[in-house]
Order: sequence, then structure tokens, then C-alpha cells
Amino acid sequence: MKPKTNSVRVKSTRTKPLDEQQKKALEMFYTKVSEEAVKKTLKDIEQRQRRAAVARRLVLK
Amino acid sequence: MYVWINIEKPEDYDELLDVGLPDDEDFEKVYGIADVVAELKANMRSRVRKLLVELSYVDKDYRSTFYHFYAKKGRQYRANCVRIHFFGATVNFDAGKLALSGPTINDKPSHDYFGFITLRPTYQLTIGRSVIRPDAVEHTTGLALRSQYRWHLLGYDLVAEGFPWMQQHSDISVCAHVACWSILRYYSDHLRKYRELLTHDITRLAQVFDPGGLIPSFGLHVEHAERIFCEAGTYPLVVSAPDPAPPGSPERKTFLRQLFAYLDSGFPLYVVLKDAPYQHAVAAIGYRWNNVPSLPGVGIAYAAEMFESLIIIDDNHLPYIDLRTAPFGKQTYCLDDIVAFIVPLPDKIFLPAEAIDNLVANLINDFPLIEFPDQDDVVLRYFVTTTALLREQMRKFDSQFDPELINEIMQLPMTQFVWIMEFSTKAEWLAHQVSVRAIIDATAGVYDNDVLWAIYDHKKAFLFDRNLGTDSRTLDFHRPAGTSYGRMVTNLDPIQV
Repeated sequence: MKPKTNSVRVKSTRTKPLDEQQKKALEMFYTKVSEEAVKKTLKDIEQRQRRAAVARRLVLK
Repeated sequence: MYVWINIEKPEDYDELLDVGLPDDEDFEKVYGIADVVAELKANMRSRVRKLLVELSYVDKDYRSTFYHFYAKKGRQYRANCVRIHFFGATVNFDAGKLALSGPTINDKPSHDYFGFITLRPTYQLTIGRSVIRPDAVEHTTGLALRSQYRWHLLGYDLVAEGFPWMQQHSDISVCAHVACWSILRYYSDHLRKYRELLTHDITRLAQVFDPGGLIPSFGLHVEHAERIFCEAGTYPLVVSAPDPAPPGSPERKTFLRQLFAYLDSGFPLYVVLKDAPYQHAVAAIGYRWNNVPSLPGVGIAYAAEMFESLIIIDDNHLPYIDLRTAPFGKQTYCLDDIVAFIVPLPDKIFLPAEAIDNLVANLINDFPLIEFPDQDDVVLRYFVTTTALLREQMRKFDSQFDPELINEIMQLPMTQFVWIMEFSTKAEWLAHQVSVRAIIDATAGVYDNDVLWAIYDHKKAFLFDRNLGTDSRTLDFHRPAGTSYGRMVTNLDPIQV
């Protein structure tokens, strides 16, 4: 069967999957991010939205 | 009717006072020429050596206000404007043939064409739609957004480079309208997807109803400007400074980091300044780095703390003035008077600057797979760019990269917009170099904890195919020792003086 297009992904010869140790380290990082950065970002956004509601009423002339 | 004026010294701008026709006694008063001459004398660089004055020019922006406002007034207003073009020393004019000549006059853009201003027949605050090249204005240096605008003059096709600017009308439009107009005219010229909006279109879009001629003169609320940007097809984000947040406080620094990140991404900002008795609106369109020889201090330093001034478009002054940490010249406000800004974002940017700012500490402390600079020796810069521009830069500076990394980034199915984080040591920052670069999905949600497309240092890269969700991969580099990554240049262009 012919391929649908001529384009093919250039296969990398040197990239390799993460080893178990790297996978574990990445998993721990994601857990930490979800615990800290996400929580703080949500709080920051909430505060920013509250301040923006006040700023929207400023008169510019 | 065209008038050619040679400028050898600032006093030569006074000739503009006499360009009106002999039977037009009100000419100087109608077009506010005396005030315009004072502005030009004080602010134009000496490289502007010739002026060509068009005494009757139909300006679409003024006409939009004339049809809906000035024609209804008891005082009679003229329908046409005056337009003044600025040229350099090599351009000449043959008044008999109405012909321009010069070695670069047909170049697009021409090295010796510095743009133009129009003068409205409104008696006061008369400078209307204008595009002036930044290097024609005194004291302008740094990096700024600009676009190219094509005009027709005497059969010539001229290209002006700059950022659109005008004075406020003070009645049918005020500073807030003008800041919106400048930003949206830049968008419509620079990006094909945005339609052109004339001055009166902006005035009308501020309200859900037709505001007529009186209400606009009372000023705008920030939410009206937000509405204008929405109606124009952008997705405005209002960011307000915490209150209180004294200068230098952590809260103030976080706010300024966000402002800088969006500006460095190439988005002009609608900036709200505290200025008695009302707030004032300007457009921030660039910045100037400070040139400190070394960076003191411990802890993470941010690129946002390295700029000396913002470059702004303010309807009260000719364009490209500085907004510094302290007021100067005729300005009554400074950087610490910024109370809020609006960034008119395109669609498909769902991850705000706060999320990137909060990710930094986690990356440096907890991402174990990459060698970051030491925490007391790191400068961080983050901004949005397009995948197309990222790939263009990698292609342009391909000697900096392992060829396999270029192949991978070219094929990684990334989104249109990405956040870029660049980590440098302080020594690298001063040399415009980077240690680590992270590429983050700008369409990710704030709940996502795996937002990376790729991250690489000098030795290896980690690649994450978020599109297919396939297993992450790593790549060890074969790069010559001592090769550095250059700091990425984004959409702001250097002002060549």
C-alpha cells in the first residue's frame, strides 16, 4: 500500500526514552509543581481578578 | 499645493507659520501651527533636514470625527488636514515638476524618509494621525515595536516606519481613546487578521450604545478600554497592581515582572497611570536595558529588573518618550505610578504570566535533570513568542545548536504560541547569552503540571510531545565545547541611532 503523502518524520537516531530514574525524578517534579505552583497561581489569579474589578472603574482622561 | 522647507537649525521650523495661502488668514490659528512648531523645534533630531508640506490632505481618521462630530458644531470646521513629511539631507524637491529626488527615495523603506504628521483643523491639540520613525525623535533609544505604513505622495510610494501616534482631540476622544487607537492601528497594520478602526470607531466601541459627542469628553473607564479591545478582536487581560504595593516591594516587583513579560513578548500595553486629578492612559511599546557593568545581589534576578525605562506613546508629548523611575522633563508621572495595564492578547494564550512566574522556583529547585545556574547567580527572562519565530531563530543561529535538537524542535507539534524561559548566569546575561531554555505550552491550563514542550541546557535536552502524549525522550548533545546560546530576540526592534 502506498503512503498517503511523501512527508515522513525524520527519525531521530540519538534521542532515547527516559530511564527509570529520570522518569521517577520527573514524576516527583510534577507532583511538587501541582502542589505548590498550581496552588499559588490559582491564588494569584483570584487576587488579580479581584483587583482588576476595582481597576475597571478608574476614570481615564 | 506643496511647500518645501529646508531645516538647517531648529528656528527654520518657524517657516511653517507662513506656509498658508495669502488669502487664508486663519490658517495658522486653525491648524495650531505655533504649538506644532514648538513641539518640532524641541523634539526632532537634527537628521531631519527637509519638510514637505501638503496644504490639503484628506485624513480618514480626522474625517471620521468630522462626519460624526465636528460637522454638527456651531463653529465651522474645515474638512481637510495638513500633512508634513520629514526627509533627510539627501532628498530634494523640484517645485516646478513636483518631483522628489534622492539616492534612496525609491527604497521601501527609504533611509531618508522619517515619516509624517497630519494637522487637524481643530484649533487646539491639532496633531492627528502620525507615524514618525523613532530615530527622528530626540533621546529615543532602546527596543521598540514598530510597523511599516505605506503612503502615496505625488506618485511616490513611501513607507513610514514607526508606531502610530496622535494628540487627543480633548472632546470626541481623550487620552484613553488615543492609547487604544495607537495600539489597534499597530495591530491592524502589523497583523492581517485585525481590521482597521478609525478614531470615531474607537469612540463608539467604548459603549454598548452610541455615546454621541458629549460622553466621550468625560473620559473612559478602564472597562471601556477593555471593551474596545474585545470588539477589535483581541482578548484583553486586565492586570492591576496590588494596593498598597510600595516601590520596591515584592508585590510591586511581581506586578512589574508581568508587565515586562507581556511587553517583551511583543504586545503593546495599554498602561494606566496615577496622575492627578484623573488617571492617565498611555501605550507602552518598548524599553531600554540599563547598562550596568555587573549585577550585584543574591537570589534570582529577573530581566524585568534590568530595564532602565519603558518607551511610551503619550498623547501629551511627541512619541517614544521614556517612562523612568522618576519624573523628568514635562512629565508628571513615573514608573511607580502605573496602577494597571491591559494586554490585548491574541486567542490561544491560556497560560498567564503568573503561572510562569510561579513555575520558576519549582524548575530551579526541583527539576533534577537539567543543570541550572546557581540560584544566587541566575538571571531569568520569560516571554511569549510564536513557534514560527522560535524555529526561525534556531535556523538562523544553527551553529549554536546540536543539529539533532534542531530536527526535534522543527518536528515537535507545538502550538502557535509558546512561553520561553531563559536562564543565564549573571556573566552570561551581560554577554547576551543563555544557559538553559525551557519551552512551555501557552495553551496549557493553570491546573496542568506538565506544561513543558522542551527544556535544554548545554549538555542535553528533554523533549515532551504533549500532542501525542508519547513517552518523553532525552537527547545528549554533541556540541563543540564553549559554544553558547544567544539570548533570543523577539518582536521588538532595536532603534538604530
